[in-house]
Amino acid sequence: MDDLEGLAEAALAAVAAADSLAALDATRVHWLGRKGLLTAQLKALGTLAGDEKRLRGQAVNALKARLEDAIAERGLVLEQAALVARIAAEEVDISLPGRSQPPGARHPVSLTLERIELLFRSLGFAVAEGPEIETDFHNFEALNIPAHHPARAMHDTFYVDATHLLRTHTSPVQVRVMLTEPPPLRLIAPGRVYRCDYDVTHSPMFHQVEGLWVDEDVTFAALRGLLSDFLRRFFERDDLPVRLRPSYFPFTEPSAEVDIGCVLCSGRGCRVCKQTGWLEVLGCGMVHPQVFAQVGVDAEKWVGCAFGLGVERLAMLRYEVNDLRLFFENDARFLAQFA
Amino acid sequence: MKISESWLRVWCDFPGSFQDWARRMTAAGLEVNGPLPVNLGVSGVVTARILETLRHPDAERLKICRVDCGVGEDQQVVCGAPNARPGLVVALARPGATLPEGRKIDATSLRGVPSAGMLCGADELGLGEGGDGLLELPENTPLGQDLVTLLGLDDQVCELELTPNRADCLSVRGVARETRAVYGPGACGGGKLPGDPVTPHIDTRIGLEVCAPEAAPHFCLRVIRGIDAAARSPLWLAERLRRAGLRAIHPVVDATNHVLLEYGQPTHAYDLACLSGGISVRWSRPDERIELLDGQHPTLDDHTLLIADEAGPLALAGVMGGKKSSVTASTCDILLEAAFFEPSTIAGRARRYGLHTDASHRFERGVDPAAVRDAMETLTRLVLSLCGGEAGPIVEARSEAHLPQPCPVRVREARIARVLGAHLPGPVVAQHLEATGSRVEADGEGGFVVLPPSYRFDLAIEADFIEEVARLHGYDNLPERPPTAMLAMLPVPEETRRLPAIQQHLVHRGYHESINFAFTDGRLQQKLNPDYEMVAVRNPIAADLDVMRTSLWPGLLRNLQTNLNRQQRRLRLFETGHVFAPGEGVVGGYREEPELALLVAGSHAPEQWGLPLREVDFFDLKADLEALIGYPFEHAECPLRLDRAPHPALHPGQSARLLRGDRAVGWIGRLHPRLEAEFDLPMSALLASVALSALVPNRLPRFAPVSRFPASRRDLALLLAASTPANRLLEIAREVGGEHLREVKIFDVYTGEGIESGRKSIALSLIFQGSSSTLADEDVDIAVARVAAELSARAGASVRG
Repeated sequence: MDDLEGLAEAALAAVAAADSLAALDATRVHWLGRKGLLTAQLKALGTLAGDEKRLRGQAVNALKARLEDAIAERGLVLEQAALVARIAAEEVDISLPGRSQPPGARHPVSLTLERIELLFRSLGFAVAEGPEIETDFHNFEALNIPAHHPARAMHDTFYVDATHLLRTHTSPVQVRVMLTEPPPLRLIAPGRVYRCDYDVTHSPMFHQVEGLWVDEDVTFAALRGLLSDFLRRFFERDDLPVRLRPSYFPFTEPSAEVDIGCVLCSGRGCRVCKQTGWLEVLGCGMVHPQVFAQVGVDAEKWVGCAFGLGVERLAMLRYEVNDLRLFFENDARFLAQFA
Repeated sequence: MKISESWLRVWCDFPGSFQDWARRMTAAGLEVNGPLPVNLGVSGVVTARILETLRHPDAERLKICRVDCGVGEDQQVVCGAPNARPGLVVALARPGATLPEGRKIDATSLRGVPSAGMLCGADELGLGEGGDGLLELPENTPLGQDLVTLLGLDDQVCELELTPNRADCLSVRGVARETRAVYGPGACGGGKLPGDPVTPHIDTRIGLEVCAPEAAPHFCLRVIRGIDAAARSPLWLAERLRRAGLRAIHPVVDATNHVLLEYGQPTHAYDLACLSGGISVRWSRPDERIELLDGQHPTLDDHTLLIADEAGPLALAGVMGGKKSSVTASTCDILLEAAFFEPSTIAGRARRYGLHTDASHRFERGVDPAAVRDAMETLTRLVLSLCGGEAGPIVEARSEAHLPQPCPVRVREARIARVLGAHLPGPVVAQHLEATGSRVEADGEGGFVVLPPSYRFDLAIEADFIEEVARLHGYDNLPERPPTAMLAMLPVPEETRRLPAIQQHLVHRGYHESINFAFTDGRLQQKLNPDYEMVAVRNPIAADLDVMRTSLWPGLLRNLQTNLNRQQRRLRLFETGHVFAPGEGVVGGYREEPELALLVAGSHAPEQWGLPLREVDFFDLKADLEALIGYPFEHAECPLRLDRAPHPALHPGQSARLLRGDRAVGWIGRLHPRLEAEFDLPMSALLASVALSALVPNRLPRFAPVSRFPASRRDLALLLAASTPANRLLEIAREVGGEHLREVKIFDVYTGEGIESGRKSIALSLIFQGSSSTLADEDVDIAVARVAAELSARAGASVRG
């Protein structure tokens, strides 16, 4: 039986020497395969008989079992080593930048418009739209600004013909809605407006959001509450001071300009608020009875309020943009900041 | 309008500072800027008379002046002003004096001649532009007097930005009235009583015929004879005018301006010697002409109100006088005019002739119709006191029927409470109403009958008075309440896409949003799209912003140029906005439609280590559009189709029209090589445009069962004519692939070596899957063979090898 000891030693040495799963498998085939050396020993048992056969059989089988165990064990070790090696080989420099098409950005005016819409939608204000080329009637006449009214001088108007113009405000949308839908009404009308004025602080095209709320119990006090709430939510400042100053718009009465405490200097006084601590951000008022008359709404039954705000102005304050002209240059480096 | 504290305090001596006044008036709706000091830093300047002037021995332009300062010895001052002459009373800055901008004056010597200070010009004193000469003070000015005291420079000026409804505040008197209203009864002192009417000295009357009483319901004339042509306006008058932003010109003109500023009543003075015959107030006749004071010669239309004599037009009523009859240095006899013109007859007239005057500004907003005679009397007194003369009687035409008649208005307390959301006690309401100058009577039914004063053109209906009550009560003293209304949810339609969602989608694909003006350069737009009719702006703000855009592309291409100029070589932009065209739309004669446009240029991705760079091409942009639509164009559910078609702005080999049903809704393609040069682009750009209306509808997702059986894939390598669109293969395969064909894909396109010229190789993958069982290989083979046969028969595509 010495030969078996020699075989065992050689086989186990071969298993231990296998340095890869493939080599281990070759070793297994070499010893335990159909034509393997140990398999040959088993086959050779047939030539023996009796106790010799039994004893030798036990010894060969025991050797086979030992060898199988050793192969399995070695297999585990090699598998582990292979995994470690693979992991090592697959390591990357995770600090390298991601492979990308980086996202772009919405225009700050567009972001501001959506923010305004979201806030008013949360109070049930629907969004209405109207044409940018308007009739003199919708832009002026129906809003209590007849021809030659001095208020027309406040709107430097672009004309496309004698009776059609580029709307100077989004207020004509309230006229269009009231002409087609009966009260109660709760809506905002965002959009582009045009005025013949072009300098550091004026753009010939800009954006406004008009608001209209007509119901039986609308009041000046509620208008004020609505706008204070809006401005505090818009700037996310619960303690934002809001004040109303009497003003004049032909289509509202009483009318007011709404000021907020300067959001850049917290009211201490800075260049933007011209050292006053206040910023004028919107105009508002109670719908003028003459406007209701023009659109056939009963001014005794219904009370309305309206407001109009400049989107660029709010965007400039919100995002601290210091030059109106940047909005329309569309420099990619400017736009990318609003991602 | 500028108003000085000293003048206002003559009319209304309010408690507290001018600064505080400015704040309170602003809070009451009269926007006040300021105050700014009138004295810009003058001290130690006294009046002095030049006794003699000698030429400086060493400087040709300088004079050595001996001046009398009233007290002490005469002083010697060196001066270079051309108007320095003996006898002239001037302002002398003595050593130790200060001038505006912190300038200090010391005793000095000029070219070796000692000078005890400096003789000052108006500009050096911060008193406005006085040319290069010395400020000339009237001959009778006391000498040695402090200039600050003499001119009353310890004063402040505010600028009022009045809204168009408050014409009644376009005067010192009006602002004083408003101040009293804001401060409340009894809070202010001062005030000015009306003067006595002037008793005529002579009986010169001039003929007056008012042919348009509806336009000039009250018209007054008066002759003054024998004024002193050499008279000059006194310092106080010149200073008042200066602080209001006007210059002293001639005492008569200055007097009319003073009345305008103090009473808000424009008046006019004519040189009587230049008139022929009586005065008529009439409408212009077409093509009549007049030379105006400012030198313009407008040709008149047939609806301009004129003051005329027998020889022709003398003045545009309420706007500007004519040159011919204007008062000059040699005028001896004058004719004064004061009138009320109906606002609507003046409104727009001045602008029609490109004019805007202090008079037209007031008349078109409304001048107090009840104060015309007062204004005439006040003007007469002032003219007589300034330049003497003898006044005639007032000649007057008054048409009661055409004068505005204030109507009583009912103001209900309940309505005030309903509109303002605040209950104000009756007496408080009454007090505010009375503060407007109205006559107020309780009507015994919870309201008031209010008669507005003649000067308030903005008070005619109940709402006007509710505003006054709110304003005078103070907006700060009115309540604020949370808005309340019936709760109602807004509809949330799932089958339409909101614009922000579309925009956000593009942002995720790397696009920046651009916003351009809706007007653009007509010539540029013509080049991009010569066939489109454009809407022109009649009064464009710039020559290159003269038409409404027919497409968003000109704006985006401009943006590309701007960014290239700023070294931004890779650009992905989108814009949404209206495009315009003549035609029938919501507004007659004009169509406008919201559109989306895309522009990409430069490399397909930013430069990076892990991606080989290449220039963007048609298929990058096409993929972005497909992602936006939600389907590849060849997908059966895709709502848009792509059709090869030429566009003048696009590369003829790389352009396609987008269709939704039969409607053309947009374009996609590469910028025409010719236009690359036109726009000076060093690279190509890809453009797309889609009507937003085509993108807004959104399919509501509906569930379809997912097969659990294995799918089989078969590939077909095909050879076909290069000109056959690949899409044709997909269409045929889908049509004949049978019910189990789930997907057909092109996974390779090849031309070049090994492929005959004019042909191309396309590899298709076909994926089959049964919904209720695993497909048998033979069934799949049959389907593939059918596809191959049809491709060959209908598209000339032969299966390779």
